[in-house]
Amino acid sequence: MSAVLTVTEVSRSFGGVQALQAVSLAVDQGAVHCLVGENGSGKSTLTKIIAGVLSADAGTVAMAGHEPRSGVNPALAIREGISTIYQDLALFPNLTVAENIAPGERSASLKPHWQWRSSAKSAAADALEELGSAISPTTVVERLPTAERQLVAIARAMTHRPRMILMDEPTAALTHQEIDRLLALVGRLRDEHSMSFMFISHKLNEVLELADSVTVLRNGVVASEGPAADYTIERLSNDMTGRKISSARPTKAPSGREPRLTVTGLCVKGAVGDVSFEAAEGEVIGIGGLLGSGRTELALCLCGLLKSSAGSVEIDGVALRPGHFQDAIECGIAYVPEDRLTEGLFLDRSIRDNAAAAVASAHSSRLGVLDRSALHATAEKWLGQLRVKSADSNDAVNTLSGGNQQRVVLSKWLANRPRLLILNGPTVGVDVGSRHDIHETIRRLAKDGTTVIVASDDLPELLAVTHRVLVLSSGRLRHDLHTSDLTVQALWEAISADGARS
Amino acid sequence: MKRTLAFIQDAPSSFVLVSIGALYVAFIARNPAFIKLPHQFAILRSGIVIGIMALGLLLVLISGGIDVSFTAVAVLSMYSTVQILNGVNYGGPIVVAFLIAAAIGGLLGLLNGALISLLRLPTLIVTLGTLTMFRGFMLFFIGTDRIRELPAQMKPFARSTILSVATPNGGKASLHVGFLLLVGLALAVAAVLRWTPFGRAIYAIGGNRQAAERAGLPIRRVELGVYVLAGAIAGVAGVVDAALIRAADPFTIVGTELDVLAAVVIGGAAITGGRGGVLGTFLGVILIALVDSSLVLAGIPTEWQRLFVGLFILAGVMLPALRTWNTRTDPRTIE
Ligand SMILES: Nc1ncnc2c1ncn2[C@@H]1O[C@H](COP(=O)(O)OP(=O)(O)OP(=O)(O)O)[C@@H](O)[C@H]1O
Ligand SMILES: [Mg+2]
Repeated sequence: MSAVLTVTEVSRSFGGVQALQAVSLAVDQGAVHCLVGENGSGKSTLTKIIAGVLSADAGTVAMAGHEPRSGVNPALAIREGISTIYQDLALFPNLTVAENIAPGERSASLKPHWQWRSSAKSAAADALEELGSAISPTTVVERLPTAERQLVAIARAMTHRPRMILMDEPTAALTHQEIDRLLALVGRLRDEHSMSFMFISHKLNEVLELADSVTVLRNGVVASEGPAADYTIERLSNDMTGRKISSARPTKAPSGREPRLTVTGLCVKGAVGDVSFEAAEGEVIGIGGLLGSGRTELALCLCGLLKSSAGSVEIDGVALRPGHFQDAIECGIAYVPEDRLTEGLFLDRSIRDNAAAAVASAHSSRLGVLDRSALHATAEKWLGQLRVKSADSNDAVNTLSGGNQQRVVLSKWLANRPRLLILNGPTVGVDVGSRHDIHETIRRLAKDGTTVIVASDDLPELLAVTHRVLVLSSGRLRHDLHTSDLTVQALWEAISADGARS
Repeated sequence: MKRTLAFIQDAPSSFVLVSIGALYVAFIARNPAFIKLPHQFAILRSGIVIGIMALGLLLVLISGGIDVSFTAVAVLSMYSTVQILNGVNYGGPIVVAFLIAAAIGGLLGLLNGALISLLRLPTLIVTLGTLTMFRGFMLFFIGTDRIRELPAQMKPFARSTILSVATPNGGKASLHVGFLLLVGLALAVAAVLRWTPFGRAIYAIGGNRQAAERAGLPIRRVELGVYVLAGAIAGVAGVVDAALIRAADPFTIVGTELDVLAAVVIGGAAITGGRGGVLGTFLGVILIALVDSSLVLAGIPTEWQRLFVGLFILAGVMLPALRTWNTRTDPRTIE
């Protein structure tokens, strides 16, 4: 088999950070090459260099049949047959789905095309259908939730039937069914159309399911490479992190403690119906459910970001006014959103300021003057605990790798020492090592008395950190399962069986 | 409440329409003479020059930039065109005056665009600089006198009307032909924005510049095109203004920047780029023209006029914020 893409000795640094150091790899025609590595190991940087949007300091990128290149020229990379799904999606929020997907917007030429609108619409609909999605091509992208935006970005890369697609964490925001469909589609395009892929994911089971070959990056250098058959999940995580990751189970549920959170008959119009449960001090509760089960709505409603239509939420006996986020914050509730990259950060402010944003009020004097040094000390402490990898915490947040940005958001809320912490997909886009660290942090917080609610798609994660899992479907609470004797299989059945029933 | 909000956001024009309606009701209640045709025509007439310049500014705003130099471009193009034509004693068709002014305006726009892509400074800073530069250049090198003698063919143009209605007291109310020019230009700009790849690229760049770069769009070329077009349109506006006031006045138009910006922003264009359309802008212009020319007639002191314009700008800027707020708490958009 011949290589369709050859990367030779590529290096790139940002200021003092060496993001890539003499990295070489080759992707065969009709093969899926997986790239794995910790957050900040240089995966996205390599993707951008191959896509021609970032220049390499040294080394070259060559597509079969073309001259090697190393500078900035995205249009050239597209012409050579490379399509890219960026980690931050790079969609046009103000344009419709069709306009985002349409070839006319992407190709470097500006040829007039009067019938462009209708042809774009049908092309977009076809591409989305292939992914099993029924998003209307005329919807404006900014109105879509993250998962659907991700599908739009994937559809855009696929429409062209390019020679090769670079996929930078395409599954981060997707649910199980969508991921399965995407993986099947990638497999089919590889086998039937002999397309090539470079696939990046922190979900190592996906990697092993799909990959023909693997490259593991660590701190910008190739830590190991070879055919996928040589790898197991353990070896992948060892090569990535250089340490052994053990899978832990949560400590036993605290018993006999006062209920911290009492939810009674909670309803959200069109999303959640009559949900009641209690959570004790120090308890970690998972919320599981399929897409549209009301999982996110329930989480949003608990922290006042979504208004309930009936029922009540009480913290330590104090009832929250529905739809008042400020109330919730004052009662010690922290919410870490699912879409952290767009909702949780001030992208051009410094890492430290971002981490400190949520605790600012706790560190101000009665006159409202900030105690900056105390504020920054708190911020630094949590940045350290979550091992945010940066050259300098004064740098802007948008210079961090995707996974490290997520950790900054987390640290921002943890610094607040919340009484109730609500996490939506806490480890989406985070590497195995840090995932382990974040789980460890959740357990420690719970041990110190914080009540934690984790809404997640990631079943092993629910099992690893929670004491109980609430299973929702069609907005109703179907099961309240104790985690101690639960398996992934049993949990999955509970979640999906209910989904099928409704 | 939520539904009305959603309606307002989906069609920013509806907000402007409602405001226009409310103003009409208020004005008529104060002074029934307001509704008479001569005054209606006067409102439209006062919107012509602002409207034409608004079209150019709209392009710039959609592309994610901002331009404050267009008034200087308009005056400089108009004044030099008149001087050139007077200098050669030109007596041919008026089109030539428009073409020359558009060419000069386009050149000045090219300078704007080139400086922006060369210096990579915020567009506001660059155009503030060129605003002063163009003004200074004109007053220093070209002239400061009000020229009352316009080129021959501009006089008939200045007198042309498209609608003439006899008023009961024996006078005549008429709409200036420049309004037709405004409508024609508006249609042309709308067509460019909607149907050409250049137009869609302007939206794309304003919506997400980095994504546009990564998609391989020729950002520099598109941006240059936007500023050239905006300059040319300003040049045309200058000539129309000279025709309307029947003189080439170096101090005309200057100072209307805010009115034009207000019209475009009220009409739904976002200062952050990527949003806006010709219809909204057109309605915004009508609203501003209404405020500018009617408060006096309605017996409201002129000082209030600025307050009104300010309030409308505020409202125009707040609408997009409301939109974000609304979608965030809208359960349909979650999961
Ligand atoms: N524009 C930039 N300016 C400064 N540093 C940067 C910039 N882009 C990336 N870096 C740094 O380069 C390193 C590699 O980042 P990269 O985004 O490639 O990581 P990654 O492997 O994609 O991580 P993740 O899994 O979190 O997405 C990081 O240390 C990051 O902070
Ligand atoms: Mg990355």
